[in-house]
Amino acid sequence: MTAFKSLYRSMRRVLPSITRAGSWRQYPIGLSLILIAPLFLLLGFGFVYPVAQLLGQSFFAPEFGLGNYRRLLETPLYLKVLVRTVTIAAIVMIAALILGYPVALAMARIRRKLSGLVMACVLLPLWTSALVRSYAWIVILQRRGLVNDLLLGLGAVGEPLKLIYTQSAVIVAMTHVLLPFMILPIFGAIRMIPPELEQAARNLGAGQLSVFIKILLPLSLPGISAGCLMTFILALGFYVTPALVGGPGSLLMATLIGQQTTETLDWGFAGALSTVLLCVTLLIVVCFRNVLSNNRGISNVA
Amino acid sequence: MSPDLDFPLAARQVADERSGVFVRPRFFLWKLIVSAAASLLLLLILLFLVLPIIVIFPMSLGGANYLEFPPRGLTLRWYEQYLFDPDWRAATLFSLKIALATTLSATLVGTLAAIAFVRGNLPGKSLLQAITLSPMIIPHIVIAVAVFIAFSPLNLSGSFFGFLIAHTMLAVPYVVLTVVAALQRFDITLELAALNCGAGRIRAFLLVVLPNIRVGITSGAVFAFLASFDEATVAFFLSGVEGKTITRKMFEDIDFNLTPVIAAVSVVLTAISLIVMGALQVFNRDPVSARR
Amino acid sequence: MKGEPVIIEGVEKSFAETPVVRDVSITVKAGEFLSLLGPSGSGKTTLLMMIAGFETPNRGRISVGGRNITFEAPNKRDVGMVFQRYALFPHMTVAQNIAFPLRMRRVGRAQTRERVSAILNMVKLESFADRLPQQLSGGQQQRVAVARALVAEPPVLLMDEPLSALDKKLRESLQLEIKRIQKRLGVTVVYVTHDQEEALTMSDRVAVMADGQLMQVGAPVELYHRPANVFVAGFIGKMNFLHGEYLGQEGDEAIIRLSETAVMKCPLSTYPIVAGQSVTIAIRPEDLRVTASAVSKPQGLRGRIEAALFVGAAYAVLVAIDGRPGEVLEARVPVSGGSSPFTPGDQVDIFAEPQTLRLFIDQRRQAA
Repeated sequence: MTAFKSLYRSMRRVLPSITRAGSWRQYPIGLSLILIAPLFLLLGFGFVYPVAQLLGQSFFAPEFGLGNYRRLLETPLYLKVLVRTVTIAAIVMIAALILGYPVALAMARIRRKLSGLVMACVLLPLWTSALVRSYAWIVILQRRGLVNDLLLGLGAVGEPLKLIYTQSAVIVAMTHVLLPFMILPIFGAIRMIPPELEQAARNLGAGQLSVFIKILLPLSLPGISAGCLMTFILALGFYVTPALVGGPGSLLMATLIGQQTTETLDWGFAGALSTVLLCVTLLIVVCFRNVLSNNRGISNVA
Repeated sequence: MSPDLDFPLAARQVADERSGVFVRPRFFLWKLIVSAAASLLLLLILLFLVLPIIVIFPMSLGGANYLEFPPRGLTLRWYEQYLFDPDWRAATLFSLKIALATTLSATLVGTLAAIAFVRGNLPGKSLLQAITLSPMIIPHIVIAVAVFIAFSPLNLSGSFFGFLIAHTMLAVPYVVLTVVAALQRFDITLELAALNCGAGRIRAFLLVVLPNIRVGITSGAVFAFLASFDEATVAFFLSGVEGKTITRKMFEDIDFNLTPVIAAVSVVLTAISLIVMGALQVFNRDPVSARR
Repeated sequence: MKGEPVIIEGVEKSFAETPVVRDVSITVKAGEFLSLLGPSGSGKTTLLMMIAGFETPNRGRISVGGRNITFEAPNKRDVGMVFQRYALFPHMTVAQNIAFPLRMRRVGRAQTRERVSAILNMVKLESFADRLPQQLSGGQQQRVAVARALVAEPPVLLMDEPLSALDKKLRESLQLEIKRIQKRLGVTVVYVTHDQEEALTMSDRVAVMADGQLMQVGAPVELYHRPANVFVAGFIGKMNFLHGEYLGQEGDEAIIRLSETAVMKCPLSTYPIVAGQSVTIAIRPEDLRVTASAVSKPQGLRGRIEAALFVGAAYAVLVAIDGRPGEVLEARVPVSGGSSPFTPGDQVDIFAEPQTLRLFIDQRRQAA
């Protein structure tokens, strides 16, 4: 009994120094694990388990083997879809960069009142559902839509052009939907550049153009990389916009996966397509992360 | 975005331009043309950003049975149709129910996890963080199909709980990010001061830490709400005949009967998003500056 | 309220294998004002954090009033603390901040109000009770922090560089005010600072720390006039150092050779010393005598005036020593008349009364 008591006493002495890591600035490991447990139950059941099952389906449905992957690799149509997906994502990324950089620059460098207005123009689409924005593009691009009405009214064309349900429509709408994800990281990077730097460069005799090329562009590179990474990855896996705005001729990986899941009910093949898309995405994340950290040791993308 | 920093630059530019007027008039003209072109370009890009969303509003008020622009005759009948259609109402209520529940659960789960990430003593912290944030990076179509395939046999597809789990998982990263940022800004000595004043760990957290990371938590909650309410991809696959979200219903209607009701629904959806974000801005205003 | 003694015995602490506090023992008497003085990284703040309970020592024992609190949770210690940047709760008013410790101790509402207003009165902030901390100046915030730390009447008050964020004038007036409050309440204070002037003017005793170790504990006068080692000698006040070689003993004085021609006598310290050992002599500027070179004195040092700077009450005279390139001594010469007593380039003799000198044996690195 007394042995227990003394053991208990010595444990009360020693244990806190272990469990608290000796410091009250940190929560002990046990409490930390309790705090994080709900998240891991959630992610385990809601994320890891379903994704694992999807990957499993690709090997086991309808029968065990690599049949689903062989089918993907041997059918030119599916390979074409994969190439098209990557191409469109790249085009969207470049378009977003070209359109987004001036906006980010303006937001960071013009007077406060005006920059607030620009900011509102960027945030409005960000806070609007992608579904609503895709719908808006249907309204604009459809046969009797805004653009065709305008062109007909001006007499520029004799009959309505086919604008909607094309690959170009997908590119335009997707660029619009993803543009804020390009602008915000670049804006963040430019805002971190002290304006005194540009003043100093001007003072040393640099013209506006060379200030831009030699100072702003290199220093905003981390933002550009982050924005490009974001838009490219989101574009790769985007479903809503291509499903609504695209047509049969502009099938992408996401829409193909959707089709296989709901229409053909070929879950094994959907799983294989998902696995490929997932691998491409993760590969790009890993590569770009390396590029980012190699560049300037900047690892905080978000 | 400090105006104090921006001002000297603007002043300098004015001074530069002035000296340009007297010294090199041709150079100044060239500059004027360049800056006008730049402004025009910026304006066009901003219009590209905003116009497609603004266009929906007049569309939803148009009189014709099909979509036309500019609309002839203003009417609220599409809003009426939306409000009195039992399908739309059911879908809206279902979406709101899911979004509110998701907000609660994602905020709770995400905040607890963020505390563990910032203040906890966890082995392999960076790996855990990467897994937590991965639903943001992994294509939503993959998640959607995966959840659909996994939840269907469990009778969770089209059900409230199925959506709650899937949407909470999608929304949690936003909460974790905002609360982690808030906790990193939080001065730990405030918590130590509370302990020193005699508060236990829990009271120190509730009375001192929580009020000071409130902004991060409420921002995370609003993002979580929008991540659920505006979410369309997972909702498209996980919806059933009974349990159908507003986004799924919209998806179907856009594909099958493109009426101005959808424009009205879009306006409602956008308005809810903007109201929620606006409420956040008001709620999170600095108490000191609000008092003055 | 009555102060209680704080006893620190053999405390050690390391972070990730790096020792930051090494075997420190200090006894703070009840009601005493003790400063922990040292450069940054000397371990003084970590020691304070261990008394407050935010860090747990790896070894050793800390007790307050005979109660062992080494592993006690910080909220159970009943030790008040003023933080470096005050750590006032930004979402609470001044009154709510000060009432917080009472609220945690479940003191009744009426009594809380009474005690809060009493202590607000003491720190002269009665009219600021309903302000938020951000609406106060730095000095006012500091006084609120002191009030919050003292309102529950703890027997011990810890202060972590509480004045470092304030400007010099305000700092001096607050030093007096803290001292006044401490005297009135009789609370034991452990005060961390890197400002030696602050430590000397406020403290009953000062504990000098460097590199995690305790260098010396003593009253300010003692530290100033009888530093225990070269570090304390150099850290407290201005000090000149001369390096030389111990030649031998003459009565109770040591003979130190400084150069080919110069020899100095100084009181022999108690530690064992052998001929030929290299030593350091410490001299305060005010103890140095500088005279225009006349007759060569047997044990005087000679030098040339580099500069004579007017510093108010005196001239600070910088003298470059002959035959010892790079070595400059500073002396204080009282102002007499209007003009500088010396001009740069003047040849001078330097000497000091032996009893004002301190002799230290140089630490050899061979021990490692």
